[in-house]
Amino acid sequence: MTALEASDTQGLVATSFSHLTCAAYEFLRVENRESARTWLTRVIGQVTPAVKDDKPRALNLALSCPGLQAIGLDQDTLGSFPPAFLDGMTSARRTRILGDHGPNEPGNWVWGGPANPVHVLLLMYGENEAERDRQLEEWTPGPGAGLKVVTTLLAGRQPNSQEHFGFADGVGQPTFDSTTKTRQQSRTGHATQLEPGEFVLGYENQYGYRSLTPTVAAERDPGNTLPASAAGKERHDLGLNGSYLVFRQLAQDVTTFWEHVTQAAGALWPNDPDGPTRLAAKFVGRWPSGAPLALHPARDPFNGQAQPNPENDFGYAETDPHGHCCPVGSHIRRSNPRDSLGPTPEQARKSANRHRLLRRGRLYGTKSADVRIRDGKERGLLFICLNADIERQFEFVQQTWINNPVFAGLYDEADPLIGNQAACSGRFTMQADPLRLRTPNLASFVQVRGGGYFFLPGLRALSFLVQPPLVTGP
Amino acid sequence: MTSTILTFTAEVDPRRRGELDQVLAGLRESLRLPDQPPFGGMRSLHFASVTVFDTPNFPSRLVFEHNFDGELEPYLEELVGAAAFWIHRLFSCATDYRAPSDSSQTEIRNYLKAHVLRPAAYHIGNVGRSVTRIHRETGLREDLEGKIDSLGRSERPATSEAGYAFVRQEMERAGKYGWVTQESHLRQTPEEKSAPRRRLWLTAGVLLLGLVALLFLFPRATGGTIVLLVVVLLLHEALERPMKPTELSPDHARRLAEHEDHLVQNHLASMTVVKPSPFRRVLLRIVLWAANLVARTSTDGTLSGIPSIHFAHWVLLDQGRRLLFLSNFDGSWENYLDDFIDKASPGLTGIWSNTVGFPRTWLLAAFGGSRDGVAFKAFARQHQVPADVWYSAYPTLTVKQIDNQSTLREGLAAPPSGQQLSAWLRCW
Repeated sequence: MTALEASDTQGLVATSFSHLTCAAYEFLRVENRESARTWLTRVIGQVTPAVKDDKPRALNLALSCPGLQAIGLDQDTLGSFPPAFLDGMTSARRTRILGDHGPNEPGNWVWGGPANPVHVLLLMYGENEAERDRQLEEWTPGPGAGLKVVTTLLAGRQPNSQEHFGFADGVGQPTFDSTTKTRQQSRTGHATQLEPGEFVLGYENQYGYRSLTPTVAAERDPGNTLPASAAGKERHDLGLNGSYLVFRQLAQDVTTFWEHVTQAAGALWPNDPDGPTRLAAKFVGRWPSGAPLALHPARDPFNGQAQPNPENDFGYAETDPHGHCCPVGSHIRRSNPRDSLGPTPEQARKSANRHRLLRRGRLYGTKSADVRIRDGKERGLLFICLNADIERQFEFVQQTWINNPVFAGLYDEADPLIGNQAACSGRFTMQADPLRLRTPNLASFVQVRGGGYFFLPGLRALSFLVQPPLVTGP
Repeated sequence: MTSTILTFTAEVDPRRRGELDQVLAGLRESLRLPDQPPFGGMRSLHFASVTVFDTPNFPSRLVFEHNFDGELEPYLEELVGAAAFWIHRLFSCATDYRAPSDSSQTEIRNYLKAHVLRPAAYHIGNVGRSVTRIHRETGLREDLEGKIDSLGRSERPATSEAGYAFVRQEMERAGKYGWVTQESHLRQTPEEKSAPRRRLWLTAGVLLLGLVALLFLFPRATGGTIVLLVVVLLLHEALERPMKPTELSPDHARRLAEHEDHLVQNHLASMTVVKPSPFRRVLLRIVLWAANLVARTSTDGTLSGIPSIHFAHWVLLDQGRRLLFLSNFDGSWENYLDDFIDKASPGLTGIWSNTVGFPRTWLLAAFGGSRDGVAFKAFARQHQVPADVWYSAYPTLTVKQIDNQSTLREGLAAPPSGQQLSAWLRCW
């Protein structure tokens, strides 16, 4: 396994900066090409690489396809990017793949939609609010910078690792060599070790090959800022040490979720005080503590307390092949079916591991004080993931697993937690002995508020992209 | 009931290529409504498609795909009865069509019969299930699922036996499911199920024996021939030029993508050019013949572990110079191709490595080929053509679901016991 070239890779690839507890995501639009490049040149000097340091802050930078165009990247180079990135998240085809219909339509988005496109994404992390805000102040472009702020999303201190519905999140995270997380997780036996090429361009992936990488004609890079490409010496490699970053702002309707779960559990298991938690856990596939239902079908072994290292070393083929513990259509079984889809457990796991995501998201909004009370505040997940191939990884998971109405032989169901219920029967089946249980009329609990596909370049590639004299517009 | 897979193909008259597009648009429009003519009312049609292949250096070809129940003769009767209007207009754009009008059904039938192409290799996911049976079993399942859903907490059966008794009783109470027990519920007879396997082993045995005999009788000549063939193959593989993934036309890929992901099911039509050397052309025929022997043994709905193919077939055309592949499958194109790569690499590499541009392989299918996912997907996209017209008799059902429903019905016809009873109850 090749070691990552850490000094040329942005930090987010190797770490989620969890020691920096506050984050800000600033979305910018380029207004003036030349001044924007000058401003960006200053910013990229401060970008944090994937090298361990003890600084109280970190900064990373990603660009959308319209962003690359706006700073003047030529058509020939752009054409070497993959179709999903070129299309962006809002094209008709991508909307269909992602299931962004009805209330989730890009036309309703607060950013990233057709009416409010974004070009540059600054990811800023600080050890506390003050440090984050100092960064935010420093990197908010002033007049004359040639960029305008479209929106800024703040992610505050996370009280614990539970998301807003109350369940431990970010557990089933794959790792690849040379990240600190690997060492940490391999101690506990929790790591799904994958090839770096699944997440970083220029390395071997789970197939034993390299993913396609964007390239530049050699004559556009006379200073050899970029390394030679594997495609031949007439191209230089713009993708090396880069990744594709998927951003989705997902608002969670916590009150509706618990109202629905309480009412539906009342119909399934009348007078059972644990019913609502059990039904919600069936939706998720884990208990609030993060303990998986596949291993702990009867009750939450940690009584709802989030665990620092929730159990992740399990499969379904042996312990729960039929979904009697963890329903086949539950959220975690859809988002990573592990060894359950056949034909053999080994083959199933091999296939599933070719569609994994490196999640880097954070919560936004405050925790509900009382989930029964609608406080009118927006809260949810700022979903961020990294992958080397948007079509094969993020979109595949979304289309073939999460939104698939016939996933694993089910009939017309969607993910009970994040699926669009209006697009299917709105039922959720819980396999049971002797006959399955089913709960009808699910509501959609999550709404897409914004999103986009971004390129998170390596550091050399970043400096190439903002070099003024060498990049000329079409 | 056995199913038949075939295409009717004809050369398109270049002067009428534009007119053909208009006819196709009209037919597509008339298929927007389900259960409507021409195909909607047909009893024995599973899937149909019309694709026009405008490959450079070849005349344009109209390919009319049909997956149907029973034999060709009765099917032609039904097809022409239902769709003479459209068939007449479609094939009027072919170079050799002569029927005077759409009411000359005999001429149309004869024309189609003369333009049948039978597959060199094919696969059927839900063997032995007719369209009628699939529809009936869907209705039965939906009806009884509703009964299970309406059970109150205290009414839920506690044991497997009680669960079975409940479902069975609800079926009888409905009073309209006499066919469940009265008609044969088997997908295949035991003989139908075991014969292909026997044939495969027998053939393999005979071939092996023949080879051993040759090696024994003429050790040097046989050994020499084998070495020579391997060297010839390796030489071909070293000298042939694979397509680079970057050569895939983005516009073509985008046009294809626009046609996909609308339904649970999707269609794939691909036309590749067989490598020009006689060695490759003979090799392809042998591989297809072997693939077909193996595919016949599939009785559980999967092809090389791929669980999502309703019907697929390969057919050689233009005197073996081109290879056509047509498939009706479940899920997204990405998922289908990934299944090809993850589960069926050797088989499909063995076939398509004989066509121009396939990712480089070594020793036919032993190394390389479709294992390089990026290169293989680019190759597949480049040779794919969107179908102009596509019809499915049951667009919301997967192979797996159809099998599941058959299991439910079979269990109602012949009560399962023990382990099988638990498995049966899990199908709900």
